[in-house]
Amino acid sequence: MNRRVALQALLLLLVAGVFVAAFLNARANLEARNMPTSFAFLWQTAGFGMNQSVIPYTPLDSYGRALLAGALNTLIVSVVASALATLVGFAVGFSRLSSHWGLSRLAALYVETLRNIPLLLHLLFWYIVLLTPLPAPEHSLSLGGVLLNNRGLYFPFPGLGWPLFDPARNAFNVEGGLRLAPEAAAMILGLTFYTASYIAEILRAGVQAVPRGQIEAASALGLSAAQTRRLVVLPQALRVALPPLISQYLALTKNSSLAAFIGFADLMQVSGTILNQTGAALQTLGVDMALYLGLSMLTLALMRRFERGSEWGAR
Amino acid sequence: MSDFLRAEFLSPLPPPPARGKSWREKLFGDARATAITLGLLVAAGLLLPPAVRYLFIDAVWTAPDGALCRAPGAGACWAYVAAKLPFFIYGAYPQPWRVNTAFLLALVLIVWLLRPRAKYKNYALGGFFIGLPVVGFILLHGAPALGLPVVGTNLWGGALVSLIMALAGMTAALPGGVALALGRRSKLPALRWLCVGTIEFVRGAPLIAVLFMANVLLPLFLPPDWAPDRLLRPLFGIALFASAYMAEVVRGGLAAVPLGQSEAAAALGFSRWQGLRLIVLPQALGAVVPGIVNNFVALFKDTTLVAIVGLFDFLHAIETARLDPAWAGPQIALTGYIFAAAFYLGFCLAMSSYARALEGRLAEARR
Repeated sequence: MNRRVALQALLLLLVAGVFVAAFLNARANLEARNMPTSFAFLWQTAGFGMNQSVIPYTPLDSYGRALLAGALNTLIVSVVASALATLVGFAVGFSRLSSHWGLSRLAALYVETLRNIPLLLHLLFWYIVLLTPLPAPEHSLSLGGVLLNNRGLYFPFPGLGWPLFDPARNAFNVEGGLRLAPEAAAMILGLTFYTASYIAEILRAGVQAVPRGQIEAASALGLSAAQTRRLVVLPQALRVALPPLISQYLALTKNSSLAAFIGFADLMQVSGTILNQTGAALQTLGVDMALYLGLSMLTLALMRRFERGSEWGAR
Repeated sequence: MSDFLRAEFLSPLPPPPARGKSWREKLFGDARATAITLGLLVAAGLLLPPAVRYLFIDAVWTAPDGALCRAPGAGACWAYVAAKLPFFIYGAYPQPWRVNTAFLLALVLIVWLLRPRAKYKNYALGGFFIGLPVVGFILLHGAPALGLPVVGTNLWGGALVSLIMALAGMTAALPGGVALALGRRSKLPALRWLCVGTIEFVRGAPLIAVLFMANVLLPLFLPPDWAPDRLLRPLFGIALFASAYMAEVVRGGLAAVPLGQSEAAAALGFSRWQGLRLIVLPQALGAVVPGIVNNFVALFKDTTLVAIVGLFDFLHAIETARLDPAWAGPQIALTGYIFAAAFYLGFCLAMSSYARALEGRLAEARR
């Protein structure tokens, strides 16, 4: 017993020693390099622009607001891509389970190919595919008030009015309307099709986990094949598939940090810029980690609650 | 009474349908199957010919520069891949033979280790975990005493960096993951919470954040004259990241080994360490081979992210090469991406097909 206590005390002492040494080094290094040690930089003028923001943001706003806009961009892209990836993934997963040989092989090809290619390559591919054929603002394609050019896709939106290209005021940009930047679209498409290949496999595993007797019992009760799928198989399959599905959504959210590579202003990209401009490495990365870890833990806590609920309901 | 008895035998029922359906039934069995088949055929007819034309017929196979590939109607620009191939593989490394020798050594050791019935695997194991890093370091970094001039890591690039990252990550992840997983099961609360904290912290962060931390914070936390090399910092980040994910896989494997196994080992007089090493761990790792390989595949794909801290991995080398004005053009960029996709797809599929074969063999051995 005493040996255990001694061992743990030694371990804790060692860890504390490493932390203290790191702290002392960091203090000396920060001082030597003249790097900021407080969060005061958050209120300084950022000075960089963003290609997409859901809250009003200009380069004259503060670093803090830039981080907020970046975090919101991460959240929006993740939510939209998660929803789309679920749709595509379920479609591919059901195709994979189809009794039709060609359809099932095609879905298998989709899964095996797309998930063995790095996500970064997906993003770069969509970026170049989306951006190359698009015209400059002066030659915008327009359809019923929706404008499309290499600065993005513009929708009319209440409060922002109709998108309008006015060379007299701004020769390079469209005024008004809600804009989806090509970078954001490439992010959403890349994340959707990459994650869908994982979701398809999760769905397949879930459906295959439903015992055959359930399907036989359903058909013995006179349910049609479609009814069996909808009322018997899917509810049970989803219960199995939900935990891995949620960790896939979390992975997608973390993967959205690859936005930095194609210049979409998500949390990580904005942090990288701030880090380079201010040198406030500890603070910026601390904020990022708090946000990502907070999101993970919140989701996992919700999932645990749901699992407990469904266990209780299953009884 | 006799009314209920059958006077004569019924004719036998036809045999149940054979297990496998014929091709025609599979593809044109009913209206729905026929519709799907026709739809797939139409889609293939619409998509395949342009793809083949782009990749082969209209492709530019030899050209001095990108002018031919920029011409309207030109397809894939394989001439670009051929011209830039040395850069894709070695980056700016001046003496390719040193890289080739290191690659060859790694290949020999890996094949030796992966062959099911190869002999002297202990030597191969030692060569892989100790010999390869040492020899590889001397070969690639250089040793002036042996007549090999030092090559700074700023010249390393291409597939060389990708493979170093992947191999070093895998080499570190397995022991690191096992250590973290065992720590997580430890009876000492301090050790347990330390391991849980490390695993969950790293797994909750995106790899890019971990790489940023390794790149920016590591030099901050160390004394100024200890600052690690620019290649070593992301390597540390990757190793930590891969270990945390591996720990969760190993934990699953450890949970799958029945408690009776370690109890039986103890009853036979094995020490705790012997029981762990000879009885529990082999079964635990064998049970999660697919998970381990999935982790390796993910790690290999994740090596593309080291470009964020300024390293020239394979994909980043391709991204950089297409900025060369002699070879600039949309078709050229797309060709680069297709080539990169084939590279990663080939490696990842090879890994997963080996895993499937190994899994089958392990399942057979367990029976």
